[in-house]
Amino acid sequence: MTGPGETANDGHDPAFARAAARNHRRIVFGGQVGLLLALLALWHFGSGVLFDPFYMGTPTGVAAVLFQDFSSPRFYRDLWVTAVEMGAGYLGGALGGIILGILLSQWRLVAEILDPYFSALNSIPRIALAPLLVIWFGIDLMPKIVLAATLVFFLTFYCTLSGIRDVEKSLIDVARVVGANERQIFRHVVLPGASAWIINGLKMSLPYALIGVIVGEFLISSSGLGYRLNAYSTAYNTNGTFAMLLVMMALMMALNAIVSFIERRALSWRPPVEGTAATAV
Amino acid sequence: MTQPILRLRNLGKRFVTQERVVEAIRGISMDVAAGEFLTMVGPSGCGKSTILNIVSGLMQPSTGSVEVNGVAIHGVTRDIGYVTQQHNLMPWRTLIDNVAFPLEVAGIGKSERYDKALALIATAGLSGFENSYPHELSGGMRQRGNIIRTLIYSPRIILMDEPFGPLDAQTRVVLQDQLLRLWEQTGVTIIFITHDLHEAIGLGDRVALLSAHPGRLVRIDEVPMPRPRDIFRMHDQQDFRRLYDNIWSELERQVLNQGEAQ
Repeated sequence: MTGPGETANDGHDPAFARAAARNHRRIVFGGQVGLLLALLALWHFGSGVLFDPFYMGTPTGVAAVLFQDFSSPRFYRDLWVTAVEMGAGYLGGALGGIILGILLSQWRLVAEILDPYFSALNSIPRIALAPLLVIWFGIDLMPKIVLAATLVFFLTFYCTLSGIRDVEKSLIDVARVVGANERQIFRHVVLPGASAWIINGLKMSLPYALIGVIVGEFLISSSGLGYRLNAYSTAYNTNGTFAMLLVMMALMMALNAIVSFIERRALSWRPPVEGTAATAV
Repeated sequence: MTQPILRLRNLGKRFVTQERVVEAIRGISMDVAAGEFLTMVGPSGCGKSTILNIVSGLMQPSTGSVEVNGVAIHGVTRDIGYVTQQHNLMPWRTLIDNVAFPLEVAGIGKSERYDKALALIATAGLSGFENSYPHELSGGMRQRGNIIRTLIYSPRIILMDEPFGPLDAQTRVVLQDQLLRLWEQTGVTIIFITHDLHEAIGLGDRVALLSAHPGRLVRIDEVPMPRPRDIFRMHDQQDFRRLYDNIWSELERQVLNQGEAQ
């Protein structure tokens, strides 16, 4: 009873399927690189013809700023400041969200009582909190960390809570019948069952951590990538502004890749999703 | 009969919602002998799953009690295993880690529990799939995994809630045959719920017939067929046909009654 008909295989020759997939990936990648080159060419040769380089900058100008920044210690200090703010805000918010989500999933009554308060707090536009955060935490790194953390917190909190409530009750029942105690049920059934939700929350909230930090640096700062971006734009240095956008974009994509890697490792048990890899948020 | 391993005394269960009270089962009393294979049939809504949920200890009865070897039980016990209709294998665990889970929570070391799990996986014809995740297995393979996960910790009583219900006819009869052989080897006591009267008679020492709304015990019939049985050829035999027709006429009446009630 273990013939090929019993497995979940669609019967194609795997070697052929792999070759076809490789070929497909090559075409997609080639198209992507081609599009990038076409856009750069349009930007470069259209500059001064189709649009004013004062507003749009030029690829060579942006490259020059990047080159200059990459050899300036000041740039690395700003990058470091933003990274620290973002890392601390993200970790703090995510840890708080996951822990409180776990606690409130166990204390249903408390969760129900607190529910409208969480909704109300989450309804505050976070940028409007900035003036208050300056009063409380000054103008150093702390207000930006807190701003990022408040954004990350609610996303991971709600995802953790939903994930734990979404765990199939029948799996918990089976674990109980075979003799698992409450602690074992939590560790072996509830947490793994909620892990897809929790990791999704971690993934979704990542860009918000950067948004919180950059906006904070816009408003009140004398260092960081957001400050640098603001400084370039107030000096009408379009090339510098684009350069900072590129840096932030690269930073975000790198972080996304890290989280996606962790996700693939942690959730390797899930059936593979049809088609290409999941898109970044 | 010596002391029964399992005794149900006047079991009743009401579910109270904000709109109404639903009586699922009423006054269920029966004794099950050690090593017996008891099957239960009834129309849908006869509370079969409610009975098993109560006997497993997951649900408290509204009236009555469940006794194992003369001692009333409250809550789950390792003496009673429960094979549910859905496979309920944890999707994040491989087959071997699912099967070995009951030993893991009992604190048994990895090599010992893997040895036991591998032996059972081989018995169930699943060798080579021990490191597969449930989504990589067919329905029949998952259900076998579900059954050996219960066998691995040797509960003395095993409850089965239509374990072969979701499977196709061929896989069903093969698994019925394997189950009979496992039962003969281990001497475990089985209470097996099914919709399928054919299956109930083919497997059981006795067949309990239940009515619906609320579920009550209508009758219990001894199955006069000798063991070991050939489940593939059961339906040819005179005794099988006679008992089948006899219980079926009663089951038919229950099903029709239920149709009128709705």
